[in-house]
Amino acid sequence: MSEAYFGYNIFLSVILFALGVLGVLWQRNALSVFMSVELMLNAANLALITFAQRYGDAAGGALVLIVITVAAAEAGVGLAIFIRLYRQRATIELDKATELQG
Amino acid sequence: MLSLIYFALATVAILSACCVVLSRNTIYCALSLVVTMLALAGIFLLIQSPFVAVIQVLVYAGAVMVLFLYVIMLINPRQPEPIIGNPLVRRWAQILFFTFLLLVCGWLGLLYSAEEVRGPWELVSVKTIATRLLTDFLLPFELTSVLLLVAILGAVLIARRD
Amino acid sequence: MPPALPTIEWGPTLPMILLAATGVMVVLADLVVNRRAPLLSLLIAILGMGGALLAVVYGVSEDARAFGQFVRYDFIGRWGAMIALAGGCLVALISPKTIRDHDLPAAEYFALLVFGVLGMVVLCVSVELFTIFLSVELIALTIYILSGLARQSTRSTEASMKYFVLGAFSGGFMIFGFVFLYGGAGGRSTLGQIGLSIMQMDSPWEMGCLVFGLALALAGFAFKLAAAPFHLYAADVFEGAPTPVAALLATGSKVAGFVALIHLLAPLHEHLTEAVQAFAADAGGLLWFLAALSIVVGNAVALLQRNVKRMLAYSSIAHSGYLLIGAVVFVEGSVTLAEIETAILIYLIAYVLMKVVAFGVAAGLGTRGEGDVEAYAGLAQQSPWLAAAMAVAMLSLTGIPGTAGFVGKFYVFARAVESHYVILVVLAVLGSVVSAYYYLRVIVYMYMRDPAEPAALEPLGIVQGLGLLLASVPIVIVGLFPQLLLVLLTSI
Repeated sequence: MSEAYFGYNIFLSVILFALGVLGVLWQRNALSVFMSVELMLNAANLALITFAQRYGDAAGGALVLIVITVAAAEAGVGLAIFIRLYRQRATIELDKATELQG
Repeated sequence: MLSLIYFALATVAILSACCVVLSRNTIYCALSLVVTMLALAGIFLLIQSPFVAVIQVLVYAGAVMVLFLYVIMLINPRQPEPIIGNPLVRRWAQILFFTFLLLVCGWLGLLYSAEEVRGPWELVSVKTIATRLLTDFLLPFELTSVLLLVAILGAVLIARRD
Repeated sequence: MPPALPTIEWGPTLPMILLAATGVMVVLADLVVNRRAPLLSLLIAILGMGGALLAVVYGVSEDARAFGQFVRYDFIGRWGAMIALAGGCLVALISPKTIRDHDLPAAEYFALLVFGVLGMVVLCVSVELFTIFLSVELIALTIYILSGLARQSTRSTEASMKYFVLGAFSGGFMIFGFVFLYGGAGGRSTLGQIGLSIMQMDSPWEMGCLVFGLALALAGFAFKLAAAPFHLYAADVFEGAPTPVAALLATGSKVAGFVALIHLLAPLHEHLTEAVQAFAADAGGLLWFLAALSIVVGNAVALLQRNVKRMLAYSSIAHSGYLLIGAVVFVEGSVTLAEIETAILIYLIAYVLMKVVAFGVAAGLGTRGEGDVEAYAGLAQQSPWLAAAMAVAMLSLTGIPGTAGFVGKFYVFARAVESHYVILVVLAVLGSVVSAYYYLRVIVYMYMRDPAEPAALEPLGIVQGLGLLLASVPIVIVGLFPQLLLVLLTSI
């Protein structure tokens, strides 16, 4: 039965990925940018489990677990960096981070 | 019937993803992302991956996003003005929206219980995943533990106050 | 019936275990020893990385495999791991002064360094998509943390944040691309299996998935290698991060990333079917564009930089371009595997040495070294050895004959000419000529200007001096006797 949703799932995951990319480019607040990246990772997870189900690969769940773990680790470190940036400068707007000229 | 659930979930996912992308209010952004993750978890259930669905809810929506919300509260407590200015109108909008959500969830729940979602659950059972993790995928598994150690070290190092 | 436990091949696994254990030991030792002893952490880190290096040289046979089909110590992988380990040791050696200056937490610094090198080693030898993704993220994570370690400096935090945001973004591209490669190959994640899939491409749907996946994965890699147009973060990160961290980013991370790229492109080297031919042509075109753009942008913008670290950042971008020429030749397929891999490895070795020396001198000068070129004025009078080392590095980066940089460029460009990529080589040579301006400018300032501050320099520590010596002497030796390097590559 999952084969029926295969095409739709892939399409959905591409849409979500595209939305995530849009979010990264559009949002000004660093936290929102990072949340858009999480959206991209979620899209990847969806595609991953869909492909795994389609081709009968039982490792699909293991792979999704790996991706979620990486996302969590990244979130931990990234949020720590944002906290530090905020403490130093009282803002986390990306366009205010200009001490290093781009 | 099942495809109705599927399209409902997919629509919710896309709409809330749009909210994530476009929202100026960080808290709305985070909560919309939670909704997206929950919708995706529903889709995972539909394609017979209950383990992944549960992990998505517990770990991703339940732990990672909660961490996000903590940090948002810590560093971004002042949020832009809400969309609806008048407090009375806003209160009614909230009540109506919440009722609508309750009805939708209830309807989805009824649909789920009506359909018998059969399937080769054994294919993606926890046992299979665990076996694959500890045999074929042993190296990535061990590497993940190093990754988590580094993440803990890093988070403490960067965020601590001296 | 319990599942069969995997057999562990200890030879190939030993380097990784050693590195992981070393990282933990560094932190534990710091807990046990009461007073601050940064040199202890340094010692443990170097012993661990050195031990892992020996394990790779003596304990791993040619083309050893481990973990099923996930790890393979092929020629370029094995040497890549060795270069990464040596590079890690050198970066560790040039770190102490920066640790003192910026009051970095030494034990955690070296532990993160070791874990980062672990990521690089695994990246060099892994031939499976998700292991590659994991090791890329491990390296990235350690660099995010290391760049932000200088607590007082707001530029350090900003550098860390910029690298984080763009790193996470590119990681998303990479994993999405990998997922489509996995899907296009029919649920198989080993690079060998994906290569087979590319050869047997049955349906346009599969091909679409594979092309899409490869394109996105290449975009992710291009970011990690700081190739234009994905290079935007590099200058800021190099400028804001502590100098040895920038060195690590410029050397080890690039070596490992490049080796992984070659592994990913490996199925496209042999054009066994029509489909592969078409695929390789597309990939080659894309890489050509990335290489050319990196060379042009890197050299052009470097001309405008006054700050030495930013200049080195754009120089890294240009060098990524030169390296990508090697990738273009690889995909084109008319040069044999051994030849092109040898050429790339020679370039990588030279590149690591040159960059370590350049960053090492900058680190050795403390805050003065992190400033503009003018700050280097008169260095030759104040510290002839430092100036000499920097001069060697600058000459080598330009590609002056007699240095390792020239040897590396010669081999790669020669192979490119053999494969008829004349335009690209001409562009690269022009780029090198242009780069002479900003590299030699440093030498001019060092030798022909008077020092702005006549204050005497802090004497260089033994450890730093050792690091610079170990890195700069081979540049000259390889430059004068390149056959030695060839013999080395074929014998070990």
